[in-house]
Amino acid sequence: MFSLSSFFNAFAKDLRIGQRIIIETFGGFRRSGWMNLIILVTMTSILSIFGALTLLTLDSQHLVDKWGSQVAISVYLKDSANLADMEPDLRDLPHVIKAESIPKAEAWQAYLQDQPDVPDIPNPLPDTVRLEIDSPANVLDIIKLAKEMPDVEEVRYPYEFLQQIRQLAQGVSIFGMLFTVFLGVLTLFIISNTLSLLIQARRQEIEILRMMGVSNWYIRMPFLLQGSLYGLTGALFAYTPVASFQFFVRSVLSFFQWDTGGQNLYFVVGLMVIIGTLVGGIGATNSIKKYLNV
Amino acid sequence: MIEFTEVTKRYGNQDALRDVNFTIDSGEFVFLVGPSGAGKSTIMKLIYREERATEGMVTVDGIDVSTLKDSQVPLLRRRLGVVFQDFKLLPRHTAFDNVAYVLRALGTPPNEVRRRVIGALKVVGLIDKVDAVPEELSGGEQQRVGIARAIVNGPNLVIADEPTGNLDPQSSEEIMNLLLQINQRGTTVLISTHNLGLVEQMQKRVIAIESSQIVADGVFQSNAS
Repeated sequence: MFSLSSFFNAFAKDLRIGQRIIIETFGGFRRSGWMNLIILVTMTSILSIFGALTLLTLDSQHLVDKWGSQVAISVYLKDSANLADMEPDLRDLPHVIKAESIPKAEAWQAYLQDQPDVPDIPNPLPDTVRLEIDSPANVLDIIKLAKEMPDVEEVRYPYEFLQQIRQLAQGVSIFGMLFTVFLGVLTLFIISNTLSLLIQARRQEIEILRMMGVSNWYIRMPFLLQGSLYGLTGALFAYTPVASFQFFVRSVLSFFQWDTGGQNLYFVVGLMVIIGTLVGGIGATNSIKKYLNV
Repeated sequence: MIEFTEVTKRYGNQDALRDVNFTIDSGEFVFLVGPSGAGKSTIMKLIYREERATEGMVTVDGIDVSTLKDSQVPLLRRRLGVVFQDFKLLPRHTAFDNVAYVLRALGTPPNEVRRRVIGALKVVGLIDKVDAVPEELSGGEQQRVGIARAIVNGPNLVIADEPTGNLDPQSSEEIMNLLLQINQRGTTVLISTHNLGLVEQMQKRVIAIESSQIVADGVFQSNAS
């Protein structure tokens, strides 16, 4: 039958065991000495690089998405064309949601206002119709249709530039992934070896605990916690370099008036915490499996 | 308390034990003797399930150890007390902490830990050495701490693997007498040893093992060796 006092006794016992595990875990840190420093510096460096590369990938992806969604194209007309006649023809193309005429005189005036040092030359600009299209997926079709019209001189869309940004984002992403995997394996190796040394040093103690019937998870847990805490602390230490990196990137981009938007930093820090903790935990599990027969 | 039925333990092609049968009843005091490599340690390891029998059945305190799941092994070991030849004390811990260490790990309340540890140290006659670290204790005293640790949880069975192997004759005799006292309180005691002089002196049941098989089982007679 359920008894409240036995429930509280069991709970109090679990708390005492938890307290012992925490004491053992911090004892492990104390015994690891200067190895703590090596692991934390490695972990922080790796997570900082990972965080910076992830931020770069997300920011460049954001730029691609933002510009890719600006589905406006400029249609330049031949000198012989009549702007008033062409605008309705272009507006009637499928997927076009808006058409705006920009007469060449108006465009030239605007240009001269912006660039007052331009010498006194005849207006070289064509009449232009600016088309807004319902979806980026239809842009290439509209460009093709517009180009087939006899009075159309040229159609402009920042396609190649977007492609370059997209390739850069992909490149950063692939390089980042490979580099992170390499550094991750290095960290696993370092954590695993440190904990193995610790396990070897505590072999006698572990043997006694096993013989006296202490559960295997109690024996494993301090090592697992120690490994995970290396990762967690490394991730928290990596916050400052990653935040500084983001500040630098944002400053450069805002110089070019490119807004990267989003709250990527918090997402990336969250990711660093999860990955750091996991890598630390996996490193610990590895050495527990290898050197601890429990 | 302990029952071995047709037990064989093989390491590769090598038999460590072959068709071993014996029973130890609750409250008995038994010696396991034999030359090195005869299979004494294997019997001990099968009892506390450090090893599994290749064939046959091992029962300890009503538990079929041969089929016991790994996750259940700690529960079996909490019912046993194990004494080691090399004492296995934690060097930087006091006698009290060495005995209390496992109780704390099992979540025993602090006042209960104190009560039980002091009780166990009284039984082994070390109540005045509570705060001594192992290097401040003689070999015999260190083994007493080891015995206190083995009995602190109130086990039904104490197994001691060569408990006097590292001790001088006088300390060895004291340790044997201490284990006898523990037995007289109702605990089953199984001791593996090389020390035939002590075995002869104690006049208790002896299981002799040689070349992986039991060759004699009975009370030691001075003219039977």
